[in-house]
Amino acid sequence: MNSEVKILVCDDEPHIVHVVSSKLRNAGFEVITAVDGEEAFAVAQQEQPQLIITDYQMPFLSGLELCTKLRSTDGLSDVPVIMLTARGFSLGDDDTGNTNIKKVLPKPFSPREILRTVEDLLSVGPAN
Amino acid sequence: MSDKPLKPWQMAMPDDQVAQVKRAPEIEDSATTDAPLAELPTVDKPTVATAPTSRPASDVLARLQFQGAWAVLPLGLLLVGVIGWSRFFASDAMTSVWWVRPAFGGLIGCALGIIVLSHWMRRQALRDVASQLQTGSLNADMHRHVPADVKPFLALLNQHMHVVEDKSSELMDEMRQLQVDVTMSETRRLRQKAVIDSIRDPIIATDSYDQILMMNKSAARLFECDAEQSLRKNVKDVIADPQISDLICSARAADARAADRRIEYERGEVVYDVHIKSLGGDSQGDQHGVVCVMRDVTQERTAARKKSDFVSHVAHELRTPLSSIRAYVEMLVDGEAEDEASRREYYDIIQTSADRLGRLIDNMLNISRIEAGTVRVNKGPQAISVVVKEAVDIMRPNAEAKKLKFVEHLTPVMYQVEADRDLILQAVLNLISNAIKYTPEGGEVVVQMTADENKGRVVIDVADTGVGIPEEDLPRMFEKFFRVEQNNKFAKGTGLGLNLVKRIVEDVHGGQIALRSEVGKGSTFSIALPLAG
Repeated sequence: MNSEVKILVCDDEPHIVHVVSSKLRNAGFEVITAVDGEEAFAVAQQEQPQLIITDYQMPFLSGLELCTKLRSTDGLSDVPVIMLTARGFSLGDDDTGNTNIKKVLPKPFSPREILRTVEDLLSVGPAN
Repeated sequence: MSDKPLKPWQMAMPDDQVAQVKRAPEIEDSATTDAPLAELPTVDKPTVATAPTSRPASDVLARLQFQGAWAVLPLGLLLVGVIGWSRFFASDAMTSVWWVRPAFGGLIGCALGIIVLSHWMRRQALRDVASQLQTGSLNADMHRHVPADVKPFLALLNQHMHVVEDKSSELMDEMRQLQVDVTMSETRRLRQKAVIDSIRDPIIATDSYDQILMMNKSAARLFECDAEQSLRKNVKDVIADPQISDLICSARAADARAADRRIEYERGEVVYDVHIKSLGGDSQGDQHGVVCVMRDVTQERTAARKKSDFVSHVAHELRTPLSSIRAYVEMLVDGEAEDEASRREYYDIIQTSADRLGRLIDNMLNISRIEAGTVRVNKGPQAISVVVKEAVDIMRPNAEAKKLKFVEHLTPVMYQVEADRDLILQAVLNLISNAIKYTPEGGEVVVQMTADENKGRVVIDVADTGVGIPEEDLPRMFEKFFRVEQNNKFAKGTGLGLNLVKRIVEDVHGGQIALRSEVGKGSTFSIALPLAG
């Protein structure tokens, strides 16, 4: 069941957090949210999500810094990450080498594509 | 006689001698063509021909000079003496007349004396002529001292000296021309050096041995050396940075046609576009020097980077509201909004995002137009308090939604400014909007106007009790896309609003904008506009 999978959604744009959360909740996932990198790290440590979706450009701690920090944290180092970015180019291996970023999705994104990517990464079927 | 005026050193020749010279052109020709110049008297300067001081001894000699018929006298005396002596030597008269012998003896003695004296004077006169020739000058009266038989040779010598004088004059002309050429060449060289030194781009030229041929002041300044003292030195001994000196040497070592090199070279904060080209050389292009021109492209690179940053920022700012619009539309299409309330919420978000996108585009276009000077400005006398009141009224609902105390202190409507109403309204709206966004609930926003007739201006203060701005960020607050990172969580923004306000106030209306702020206590933005009239 997707409801057993906990996903952390982090973006400083409330509308983005809201729409991604709605899409995932409607698909049966449990969703927790954060509005910046620091809050996301704290929530991740506390909630131990199975997957993290984060924006790249955020105050206090950028998405990339968050991922690097997660990679070196026990219990969170293997959590797969989907990165959303409004930057005009893709992140290279130099950027993501020391992280567990599995997929980079450029903004504007499709909620359908996010759901499909989440399901691929978690290898779970759609909710009944 | 020649019509040319005689130079002081030239001897005045008797006409018969001139005729003699004219009758013997072969002598003159040989004198002008065959006689080696080295054998002729040296003439140091044609103008040395100041007349030598007259010599008393010479004058005396001149008076006693035997010439023409006078030369016959000693010979006659000698002849008479010898004949008389021989005639009466064996006769009785020689013994009976006592004075005969002494008389003939005296005649012979006088004749010999005159001959010896004449010979001595002749030598003396020639010595004087030689002495004067050695100094390059001849006394004009000297011809009177010279024995008649020497005069033709002296005339020939005179011709030689004339040739020498012409040649000397010609050489002097050439020398003067050369001096003029040298002066002009030096002037040209100095001018070219001044031109090259005035070029801000460092320029270095080297020869086929990697020695420095030329270095302008900019290059000397850049590589901290003396341009003049660096000449003829190896480029590697002068330019310590191998990135440049090696490049120059490798370009020189290559074939002239393949010598072109181009790199970007950073030194400190300055970026140079370094271009090395061959100066040309031998026909094979093997031996050639190179010229290295370093163009300062820092400003171009900075402008290009700013442009790139601007495009990147614009793209980012456009993508954010666009993401919301696309995502919520897709949610609606997919039927993810289960009830009317959810659908209404999604519609509102789409509308808000679209508005934000529109504002962003308007701001960018306005800034771009103001920067380019193409903004359409409709200036006219405006009662500034009316414009500010309109902005206050527009923003009042936002302030009330955040439960802020919203206070206005406006000036009387009599104060007018020459302004574009819409642009000023936009500027004041931006400031009030920022004040409301960054002031926590329960805070206060005050819009205060002050007219200063003495200074001929009106000041609009927008003060809040919000989060404030760190001191280190204050100088950057009016830059495009700059946002205080730690305040991002309080409100969304494009980072263009304050830049637009500054441009509207300062560029379009000739006013001033100022900012005071303290973290945790609030900020005050002040607009000063000149009063109309």
